[in-house]
Amino acid sequence: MGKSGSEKLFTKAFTLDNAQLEKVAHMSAEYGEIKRWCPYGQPSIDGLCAKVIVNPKAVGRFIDDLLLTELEWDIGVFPLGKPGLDGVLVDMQFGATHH
Amino acid sequence: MTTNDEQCVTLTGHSRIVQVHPTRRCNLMCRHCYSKSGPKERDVLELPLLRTFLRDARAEGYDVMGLSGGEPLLYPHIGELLDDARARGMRTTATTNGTLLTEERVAELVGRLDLLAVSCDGVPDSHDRMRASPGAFAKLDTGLEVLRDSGIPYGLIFTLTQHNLDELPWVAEFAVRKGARLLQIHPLEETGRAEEVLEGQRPDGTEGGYAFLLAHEIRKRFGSDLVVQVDLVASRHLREQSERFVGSHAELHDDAPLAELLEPLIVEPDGAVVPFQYGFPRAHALGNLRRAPLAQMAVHWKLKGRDALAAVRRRAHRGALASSDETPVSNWYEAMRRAAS
Repeated sequence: MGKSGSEKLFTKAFTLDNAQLEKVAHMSAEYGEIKRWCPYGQPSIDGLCAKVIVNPKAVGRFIDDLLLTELEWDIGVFPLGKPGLDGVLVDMQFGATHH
Repeated sequence: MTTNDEQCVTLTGHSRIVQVHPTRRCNLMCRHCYSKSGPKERDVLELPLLRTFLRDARAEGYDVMGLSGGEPLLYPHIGELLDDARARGMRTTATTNGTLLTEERVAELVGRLDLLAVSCDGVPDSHDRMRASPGAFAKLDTGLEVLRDSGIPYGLIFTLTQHNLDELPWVAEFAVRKGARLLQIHPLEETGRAEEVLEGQRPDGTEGGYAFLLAHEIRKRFGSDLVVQVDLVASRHLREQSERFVGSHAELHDDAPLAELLEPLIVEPDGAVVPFQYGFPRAHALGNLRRAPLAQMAVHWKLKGRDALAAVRRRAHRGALASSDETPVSNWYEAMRRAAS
């Protein structure tokens, strides 16, 4: 009869909120170019690794918007281009891939 | 036997407990009730019988009386019984469904109880479903406010099933918000009404193991605000501290106090005195208070019943160890009940 309590607990604790993930996808497409988008987890997504190249002028706003999501995340930011900065690679990890 | 005896010490100390079920009368018919208690039940143990029992129990080394039921707040002599226990130097606890905690009833308990344990089986909907009573949670919620104002120390008891571990964090937060000092996590016993209507919902080893881990997290989160007790035993303890579980106390003579040999001791509503747990197989009962006082039963049991129960302990320990590779925790009293059946 239905899921065990521990299964439900794990689903609650680790499943990423789809609405929040959609928000991140929209933001990523709006502020830059998505280079990698790898969701993990079966049957529900419990982790996501993504790389996005963002316009340098939009990075601040992009991070601000990320802060407003209710997801736990880790990000790395790498400047791209020589000699002038022509993009910022934002490497993001959400959920179960978060260390 | 619990997984964190050292933490329980803060509330109950090193206790020798008699658990008295003076009635099966109850205002509810909970689905998980191990004693099939309900509003139609009328059996009540007479006060003089229990007074004599307490006298003998104290002489045999027991120092805590826990009242359960049925609903102990419906036992007509609850105040006198608690007074009697305290007058004999025993500490007192009671377990209630929490729906009858009116100001009048709680006022009667002030100064008579060292701890009141109140059942809470999950979020409001789940609680009401388990209690088979819409509105049971609302009454509990109101009752806890009355209890908090009274100053009686209290805790919540959460019955763990195969399907409700995910509600435990909510119950822990609720406990702290309401000022409870203890959260006891007790695995469902598939006896009584639970055997009929909750078949297959006893938590398996996986749920027990996760309950163990979750209890650890809750302790870390709330620290000294909430003592968390899980009524399960880590398999590691079964292996490493086997004497604690199978100890025959052979070094103790027959005139050793009963409490050194057998704890907890249970009095059921028909007067039967059994070891360890309500509903323990009657083949191991010490006797019935309506036929003989505890003092007399104890003498007889030390001579005739002690070895049989030691054999049950050994069988239970072997059985629990055999499954310990598969499950990280065991329900020790359940294992003993199975071994005794």
